[in-house]
Amino acid sequence: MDIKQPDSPPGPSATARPGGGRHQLRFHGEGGTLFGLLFVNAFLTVVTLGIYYFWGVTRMRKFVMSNTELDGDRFAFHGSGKELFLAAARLIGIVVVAGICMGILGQVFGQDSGVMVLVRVMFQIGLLCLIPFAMVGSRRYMLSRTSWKGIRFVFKGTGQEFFPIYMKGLLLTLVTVGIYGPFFLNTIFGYLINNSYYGTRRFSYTGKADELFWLCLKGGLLTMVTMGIYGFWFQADQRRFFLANTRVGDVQFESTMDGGGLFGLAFVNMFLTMVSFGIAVPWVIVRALKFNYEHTVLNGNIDVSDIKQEIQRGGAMGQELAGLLDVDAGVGFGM
Amino acid sequence: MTWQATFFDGETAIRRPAELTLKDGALHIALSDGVLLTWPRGSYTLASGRITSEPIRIECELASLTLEDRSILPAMGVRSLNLWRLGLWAGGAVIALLVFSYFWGIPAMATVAAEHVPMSWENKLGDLALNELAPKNKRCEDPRAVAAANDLARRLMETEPGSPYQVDVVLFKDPMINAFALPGGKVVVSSGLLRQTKRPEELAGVLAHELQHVNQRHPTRGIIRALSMSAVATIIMGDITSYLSTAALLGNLHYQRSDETSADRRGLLMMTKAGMDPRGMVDLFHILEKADLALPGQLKYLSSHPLTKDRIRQIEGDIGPGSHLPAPLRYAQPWDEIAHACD
Repeated sequence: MDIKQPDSPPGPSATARPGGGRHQLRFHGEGGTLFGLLFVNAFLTVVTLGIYYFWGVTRMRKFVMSNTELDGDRFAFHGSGKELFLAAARLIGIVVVAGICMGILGQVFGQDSGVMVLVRVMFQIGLLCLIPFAMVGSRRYMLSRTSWKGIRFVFKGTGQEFFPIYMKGLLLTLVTVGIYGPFFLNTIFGYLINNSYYGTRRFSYTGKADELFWLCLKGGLLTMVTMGIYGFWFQADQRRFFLANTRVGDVQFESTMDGGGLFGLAFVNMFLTMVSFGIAVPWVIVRALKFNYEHTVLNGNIDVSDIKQEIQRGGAMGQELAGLLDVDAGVGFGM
Repeated sequence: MTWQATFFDGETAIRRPAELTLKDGALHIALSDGVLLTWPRGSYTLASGRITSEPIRIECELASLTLEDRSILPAMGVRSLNLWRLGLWAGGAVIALLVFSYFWGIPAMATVAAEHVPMSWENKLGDLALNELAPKNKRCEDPRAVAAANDLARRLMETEPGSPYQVDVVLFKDPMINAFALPGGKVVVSSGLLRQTKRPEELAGVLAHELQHVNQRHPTRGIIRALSMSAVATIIMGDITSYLSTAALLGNLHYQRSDETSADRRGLLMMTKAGMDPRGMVDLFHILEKADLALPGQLKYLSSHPLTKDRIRQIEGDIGPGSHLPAPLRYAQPWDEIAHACD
């Protein structure tokens, strides 16, 4: 099931692997539609005093997924605004209860007492402990609500399992003043990818931490020396590294992104946004998505004949928790 | 009528071409390998495709059909949405809503809300803003000036015995001509303004105006208005991009024109009731007007209190040509001494 790609010649792996090929994600959405969507969302969010926000976010995800094509078939997003809203409502309830408890403790022991200082520190630590759960929950939500060719993605990682991994990595990164950072990043990425599935087929990540370390060391130093300009190249390098080490079945991911392209994209998008006073934002988003897809290549034979559906139940709580704590795993399936 | 579609059974990822027919709301699916399926009315949903640029996807539990041909939508009794056009309507509606809220909705809500703000909150807010705008080390503590200003304020407030506010006039060392009211009954007058006054009635004119802002809760209303507007902006932008500190907000509080007129007229009435010569207010306005020409850029007071000839004329009209004028106010020290006490 090859799709014709006149502008992209077959990559080396296409010849190396019989029946293989070079596949790309394609985005079919238009800035005009997104423009309408953003304004409708804004309008409904204002008239419902913010409640529509969750439905609006879901609408956006559906727009992006249903306009993303691979191997002739579109992706689909199956989440609902209602589940996001209910999860957020529960979370807000918990936050309010926690706030009231803190208030009562403050009244009983006095705001500046040692007990309160301890309670506040515990509260901060508690929030920190939620981050790994939020990362796992968010990824489980997004994958389990996404499908392609009628088959859902699955994430089998759990918070209980990820929590010690995350805490150990965080602690080591702190103790080593950041030197352990790339190793930590590699571990997180590995955990998130290795527990991701398309139906019954598992994704795998084989990135070597020491390679990532040198990449980060070089990238970090050059970014500092060039006052941030090298950041684009650093980002492109990281992406190439992550994708080059990710595969699913016979398909090997590849990033063809380079710093110059990323820099150009950011520059033009910023320019368009500024001269249009923000009106161009929908077109800018579409440009960024297309750029992303154009530089993501799936090499190999997309053979889906033996894949079976595996349906995963799981609430939207992790997603909302991630939103609240402002963490984003940032690991798409090859995106 | 038949439609060409792609069928996925939801168990495997294998795509199968299919031909669809709709009969009495039931969807008949003929797969290319000869299998026939029927999805009865109500068992399937249109998961995507209402928006014109999205592909059509029909789902029945885990199975799904995708197709390009949009002519199936009218047959299913679904109207397409052109988001481009809808977006323009929504954009227009958002702008109309904002304009409406800005000029009518939020001010009306702020007026109602201000009446329900507890006095203790107003006091806290006022203290907070006072320490920010007129810090203790820049206040003028000269007992003659402080006593005279507070005496004038007290006399004026006695004419409105229903007011719940404890007025406190704070003199602030600042060459700019400035005066403002804060929530909870704090009135701040700059030494620059005090210096311009030639008699007590002129200071009383400023105080009467500001005290009317206090009694009519204009500062509180202004804050609620500004906060509501930033809240609306936050909702639209989707995240918190603007942080407005209360004090910074107060420094730039602009009342509505109607608030200013009302403060003038009722302030004047206050002066008359307190047995003070109401022309003090007009005289001060004249002095300020002249100073405005002489000292451009120095008059913060005037920039926030647009002094038009109309406004002076209106006040003069309100006073009338009355022949009986109250006796001038007297203090232990000559007024000139008090007016320059904070220099």
